[in-house]
Amino acid sequence: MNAYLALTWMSFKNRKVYKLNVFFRVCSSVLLIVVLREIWTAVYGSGASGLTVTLADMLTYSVIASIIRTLIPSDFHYDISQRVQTGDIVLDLQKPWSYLAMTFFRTLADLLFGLVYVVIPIAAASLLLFPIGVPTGAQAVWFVLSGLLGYGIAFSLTFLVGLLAFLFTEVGGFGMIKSTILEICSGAMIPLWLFPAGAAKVLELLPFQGVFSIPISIYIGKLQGAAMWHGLELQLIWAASLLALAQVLLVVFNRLLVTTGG
Amino acid sequence: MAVIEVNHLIRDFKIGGGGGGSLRLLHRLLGRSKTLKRVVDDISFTIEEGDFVGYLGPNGAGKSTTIKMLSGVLVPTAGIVRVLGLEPFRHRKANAGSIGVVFGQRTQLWWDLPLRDSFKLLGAVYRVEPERLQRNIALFTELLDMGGFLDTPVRQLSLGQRMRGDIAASLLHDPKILFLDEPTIGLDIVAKENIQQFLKQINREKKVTVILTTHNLDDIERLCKRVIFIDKGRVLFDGSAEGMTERFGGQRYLVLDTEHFDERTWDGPPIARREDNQLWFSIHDDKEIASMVAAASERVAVHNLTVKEPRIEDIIKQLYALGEA
Repeated sequence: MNAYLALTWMSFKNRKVYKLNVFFRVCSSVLLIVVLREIWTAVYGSGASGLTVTLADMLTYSVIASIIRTLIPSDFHYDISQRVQTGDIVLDLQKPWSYLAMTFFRTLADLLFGLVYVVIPIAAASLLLFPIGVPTGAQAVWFVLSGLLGYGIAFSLTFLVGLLAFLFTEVGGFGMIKSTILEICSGAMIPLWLFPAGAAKVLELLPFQGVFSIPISIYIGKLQGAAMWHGLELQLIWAASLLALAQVLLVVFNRLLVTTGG
Repeated sequence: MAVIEVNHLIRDFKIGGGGGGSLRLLHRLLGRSKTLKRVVDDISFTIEEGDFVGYLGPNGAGKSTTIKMLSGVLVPTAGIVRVLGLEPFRHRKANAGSIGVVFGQRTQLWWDLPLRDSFKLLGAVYRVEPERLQRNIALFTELLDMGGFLDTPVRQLSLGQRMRGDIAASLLHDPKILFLDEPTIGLDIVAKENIQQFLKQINREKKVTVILTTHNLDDIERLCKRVIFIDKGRVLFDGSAEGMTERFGGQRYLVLDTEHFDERTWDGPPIARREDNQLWFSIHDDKEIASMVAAASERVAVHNLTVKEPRIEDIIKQLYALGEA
């Protein structure tokens, strides 16, 4: 078996060891969906204007946002930081693999795991409790592609935070800044079209919207045709540049890495 | 053939002030409170194929740092490192394929999965052909007596079992060189002997060059043909294990317990050392012993006599003391 795929498979098996953890992940996602549905129903019921999309689309938006949130790699910088702290990072750096690719294929196991053990239960629950629209045909294909590009962006952002551990060891603070920025600027909570026009224009140039706003907008059919192509293009450019940046910084920071003791 | 060449190797660490954590960002940006510590200070040695080298020194001497540079994890500040002709840091992947590394205080095994799974993954990572992998797993399982716990999750293994697993894991891809950083730390005598026996065997039969750091003196006595002793980043001794014994307290002594000894009137064999009522005579040749005893007992009352063999603990103590001086 290919080394990286073997790694994904091992991480996947490793994940399965702690099954209770999964149950709570599903619970927290369902809880968030319920809360967001109530909020948006109240907002739409208050007769506010300029909401752009229908309530049904908005509810779908928040369900998909919750699912994406459970699937994207957002906290493996803690693992990197911990391994720098204990010095175990030398084991990862010593192996005949690319550290970047190794980390990617390890987190990919979480995606697989999430798809099987989190998304399917949530999808089943939401279909039963609060039905949402499901795209078909080409739209579904573009959504999946867009989601994968978004995954690449989210991975790179977390990896970059993790790399800071090579210099600073402890990166919890950086991680929190990243999570907050991602949560606000990506449209995860509030769609970008509800932001003031000026702010929305800036946010549409940044990588963060590629993780949530673009794929979800494709899902609900708000982003179509030329606008969709533009969105996918933007995602691709950001995913590629962030990965390239991660690789360059990995090489630079690796030289600066200090591991003392044992 | 020299498999490892180290030439005037230097490694500095910047020790940032102001504690750890994100605040170090500020310190770094302001460029303050950085102190430079030279952990490896101009080390040179070459190691030949098939050698079994003990790389010794007190804690903090720079042993692990050297091994990290040899395995390509750390970049040298200055000097040259070559492993099988390659610079490890520049050719990290190629180098990784021809060396095996065990850091005794860490594990490369997957904590929550059976030992066997880690072996399989490493086989894939090092691109070992399936038959060769199976053969190696079977061989190491037999030699290291791992049959009983091959399917047990690593977190449930004892330290000795885990260490055997780690050593086997580092050899699955048939590396030419094996670096062992304290592989016998904290092990009981049975586990230790099993591992020593195994290392001896792979060194002899598979011609694996072994570089071993340890604080266990019997590792040195039983395994190491050659010893490199470093302290404060410098080589203090490099030579055969016997050479070390000869040079540092390698002397055997005849020790006599006496009374009424008077140094001024002494005309017997030359005294090497005197401790209270004990007289120490250097033995250069076993044949001298009888005449020495006879000569001494003519002059003083001998209550007891012993022959002191060189003890490796004493040698190491002497070497440590040399580093302090």
